[in-house]
Amino acid sequence: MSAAVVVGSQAEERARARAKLLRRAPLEVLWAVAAFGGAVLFVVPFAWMLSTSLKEEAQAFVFPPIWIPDPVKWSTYLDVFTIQPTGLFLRNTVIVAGLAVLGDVLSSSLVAFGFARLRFRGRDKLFILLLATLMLPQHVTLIPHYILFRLLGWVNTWLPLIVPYWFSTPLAVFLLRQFFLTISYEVDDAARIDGAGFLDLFWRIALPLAKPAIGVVAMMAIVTRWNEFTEPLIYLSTKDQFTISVGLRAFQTEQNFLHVPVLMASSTVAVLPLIVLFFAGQRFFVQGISLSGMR
Amino acid sequence: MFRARFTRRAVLGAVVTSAAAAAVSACGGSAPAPTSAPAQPTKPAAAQPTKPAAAEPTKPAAAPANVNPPGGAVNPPGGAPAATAAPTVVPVQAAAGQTVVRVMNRNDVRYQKFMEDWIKGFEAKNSKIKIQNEPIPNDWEQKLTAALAAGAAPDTAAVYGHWFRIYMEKNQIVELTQYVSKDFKADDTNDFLPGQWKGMQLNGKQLAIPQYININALYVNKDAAKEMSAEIPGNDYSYEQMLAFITKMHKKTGDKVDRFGFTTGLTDDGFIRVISLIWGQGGQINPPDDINKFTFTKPETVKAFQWIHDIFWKLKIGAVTAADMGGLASQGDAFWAGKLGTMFQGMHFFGVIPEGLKMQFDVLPPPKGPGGRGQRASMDGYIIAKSTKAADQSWDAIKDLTSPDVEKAQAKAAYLIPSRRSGFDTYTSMFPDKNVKAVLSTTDEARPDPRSMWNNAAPTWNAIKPINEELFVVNKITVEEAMQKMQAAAEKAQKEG
Amino acid sequence: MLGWYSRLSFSRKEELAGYLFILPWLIGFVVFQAGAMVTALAMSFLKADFLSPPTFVGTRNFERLIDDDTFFKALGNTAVYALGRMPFVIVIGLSIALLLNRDRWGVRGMRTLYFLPSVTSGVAVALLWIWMFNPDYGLINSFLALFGIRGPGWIWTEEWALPGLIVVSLWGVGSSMLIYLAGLRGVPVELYEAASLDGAGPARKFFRITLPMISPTLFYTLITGIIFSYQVFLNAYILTNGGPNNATLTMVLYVYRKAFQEFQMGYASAVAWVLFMIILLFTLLVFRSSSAWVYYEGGLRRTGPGT
Repeated sequence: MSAAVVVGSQAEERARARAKLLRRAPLEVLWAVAAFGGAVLFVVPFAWMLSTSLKEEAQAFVFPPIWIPDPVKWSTYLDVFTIQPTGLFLRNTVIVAGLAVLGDVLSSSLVAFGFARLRFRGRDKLFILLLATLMLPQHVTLIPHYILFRLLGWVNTWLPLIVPYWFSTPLAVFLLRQFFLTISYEVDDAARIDGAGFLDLFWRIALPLAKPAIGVVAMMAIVTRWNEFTEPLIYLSTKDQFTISVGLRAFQTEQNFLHVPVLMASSTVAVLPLIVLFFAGQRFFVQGISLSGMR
Repeated sequence: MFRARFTRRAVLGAVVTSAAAAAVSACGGSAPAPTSAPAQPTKPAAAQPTKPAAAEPTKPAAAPANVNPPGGAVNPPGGAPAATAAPTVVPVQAAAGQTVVRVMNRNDVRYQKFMEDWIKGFEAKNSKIKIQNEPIPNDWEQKLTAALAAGAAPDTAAVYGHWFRIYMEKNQIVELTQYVSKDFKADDTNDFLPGQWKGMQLNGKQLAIPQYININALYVNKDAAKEMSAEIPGNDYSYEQMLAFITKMHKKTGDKVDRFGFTTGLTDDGFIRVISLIWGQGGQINPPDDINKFTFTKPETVKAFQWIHDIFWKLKIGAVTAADMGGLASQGDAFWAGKLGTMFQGMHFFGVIPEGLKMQFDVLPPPKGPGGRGQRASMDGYIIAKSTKAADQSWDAIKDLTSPDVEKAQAKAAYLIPSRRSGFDTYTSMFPDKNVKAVLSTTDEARPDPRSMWNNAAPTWNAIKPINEELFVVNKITVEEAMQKMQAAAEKAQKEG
Repeated sequence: MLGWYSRLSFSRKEELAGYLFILPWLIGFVVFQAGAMVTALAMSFLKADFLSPPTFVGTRNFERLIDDDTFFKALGNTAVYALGRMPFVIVIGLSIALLLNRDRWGVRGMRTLYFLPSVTSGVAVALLWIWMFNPDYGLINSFLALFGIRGPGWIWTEEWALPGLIVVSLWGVGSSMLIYLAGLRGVPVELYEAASLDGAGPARKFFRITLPMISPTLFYTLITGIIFSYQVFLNAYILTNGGPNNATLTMVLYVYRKAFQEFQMGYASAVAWVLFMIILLFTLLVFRSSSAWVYYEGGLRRTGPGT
């Protein structure tokens, strides 16, 4: 008897699931069409870069373009690493961007916590001041900055590209502030009754809850630091110091597009690490949200 | 539940430590600012052995320059690169008694190969000088200006375009007249091309030494000429003959253009090519006796502009922008792809002929008109920055870089036309099946880039360029209107600042 | 040793902690930013180029702006760009985020694909857009042709060059998507479940739950969108260099030209400060309005007296 009920309910459940699936099927198809259609649109630039990088040069000029290179020429990628010390540029970029982002995330989360969750006089005005530093075009502060770093003896070292980021960056502070503000104060109050200090509130409550936001901030900071062109161009003079964006310009100077496939291969090499990082790192900024229940 | 694991002191400590960590590295790097080093032959900033380690302060300049950086001497002072497959770069380290000369130069791959070879040769000959190679991409204006402002400019720099004059006016570069009269014989100065050499002088002062020269040529698609049975003119052809030829080279089926007969630079700085075609037809944008007056509205000038404008908008045989050329970025790419019958462009495209190019092409010198060939000499040369502490050594480097042999080596490695006539044969022999010799023969009458002579050159150029686009790209004003606008804009810009 | 600290009232302690938390920024601001900004401000009252001794010209640089047609053109172009771009960035970015805010096989890869254009940069991208925009064969006009629309000449025409730059910038919408995704992931599932029990449909859920809950991230993208749209430089510099006929000359490109091509640093600074004031004004307006539409779960606790 009881077994029959179970069987019956199982069958019922399966039927219900099937019905649900059927009901949802059109939606799923719609989703797939929209998502894939959009993705195709967005993937075009990279696909084109990749395809051109594998072409023989004569094919790169054929228009409308051939998407599948024939023959596929892999050796261009070897050229990227042998004509120029691209490996060294990559290593330099990993160090420079890595250290800058590490400092950025650490310092910005402290600062953002202060702006978001603590009350002090002048806070809102100071916050506008922090944003205001983004509002002046960097071209007019470029020479004063250069003179400053020259006085510090930092020109042609990596320090101008790293040290300032250890004092927080407005974008990271702003985004983290927005996330810290969404955390309920009830948790704070409870913790405080238990004797938690402000650093506890930051370290044990705010930071764990803002993990996805920190992942986003880190990812965006890495992309910016990795692709940064003006700063390394201005402050680095010798090849042994170059980061990837400046180093690879040798393949890209306007007058001397030294062969389009090499240019595309070098650009692909430059962004590949970021793509891998984004794909692999998603669990940190998109997946880790189950904690939201803590509010 | 929450035990205060961190005391307030820890809060303070953490913040202070993070600040201090950065501050410490700041102080390490800030040790003895080298600018005030008294009359030492060593260029301090450059002599600092820099070590490619993150956040690690550079070695204080006060230390003897031949001491290796902390962390071990990975690179011998001689700078011999380790034998690996990938190219290695070695930070410059000066030995005792050596002077470092920082040379800022083109960074494209071929040029850098030339630089590396040159440095080896030069240092072998000049044991007292170390060259610090500082490659720089096209976007160099910001960098050089910032470095000049901070007194940290390289000792010598290759500067392109029309910038010497402004650097001279701002007292930023070393006058080279003394060096030239000391080290250059008449044979040398006559070896350089008169237009380019003169363009690098201001009031009798030598500002720069020519590095290479770029001139204009008419590129002809030989396959297209065969297909259209258009006879390629000889070297001495008139503007009328040119027009007839490019008209024949234009190919269309119905309304669809298969191949444009002609193109030249119409957008942005490409305008400089148009000016050559104006000169050739006897038009002038400046009166011959006063470079700081403008004559856009002179009848011959207007007529010459009209002639070019007709090619694009009346006869419609010219490709105006990249949009007409099948989505290819540069006119060179479009030409190699067979989308253009002819193009009037700089010889620099010889540096980017694609590997295994199937199409057949050749070059002609610019047409011969009432104003001669209208040839223009680019202004690519070396300067010495005023802040240098090693002017003599920098001159030694420039002298060598512009010597006949090095000019030849530069031509071979980087496909650049030598700035010395004695190097022309080398360049010509690199392209045996092309009409290069005839094109190079027009360098004798090549005029300096007008932008290198004008007062307020950059504001003037920036003011007239958009009007050129309004005329040729937008095509909403007549040639007369455009000339009046250019005249007014140029005159206004002369007074600017 | 910290006895004095324990004697402080709680709000004093909080205030002290607040200053300590933002100390890294304060130090960085004083050391790295303040000097440069003050210098730039001083420059706007000087005729200066950093290379020769400056002369004081009072407000002449600002007066010169009034007669400078090119400046006003740049101002107009920049405003059109910023206002034209903002709605699209927000709507498209949010739509993609909503689309990809789910856990199923392949979504991670999909997000990566959408993020791709925002990590690729440089000359390669410029080359790409030159053929994307080709009026006859380019991908964009070919796409429009599917709907029977004859696409324009894009970056080679005066009218469409600026919209073209907006289109290019929308390709980089992946970073906004990322921010919205993080925001969406923070919306508690219970809220939707409760709403479902109340019989709320998807639209109602979106406007009553999703939008308010992600309003802090919307606020962020709006403010940073204003700041960066008004400072558009790179694409205008690489793709069109301001042309044709200054149709894509933006404020920052104008600052760059004046400062580094024409050596008029004082005038460039004046232009830059006008831009600064415009951005600041918009930012403050949005900040003022935020209490009406930005919802913070924790609540934006007002500061004590004296702010």
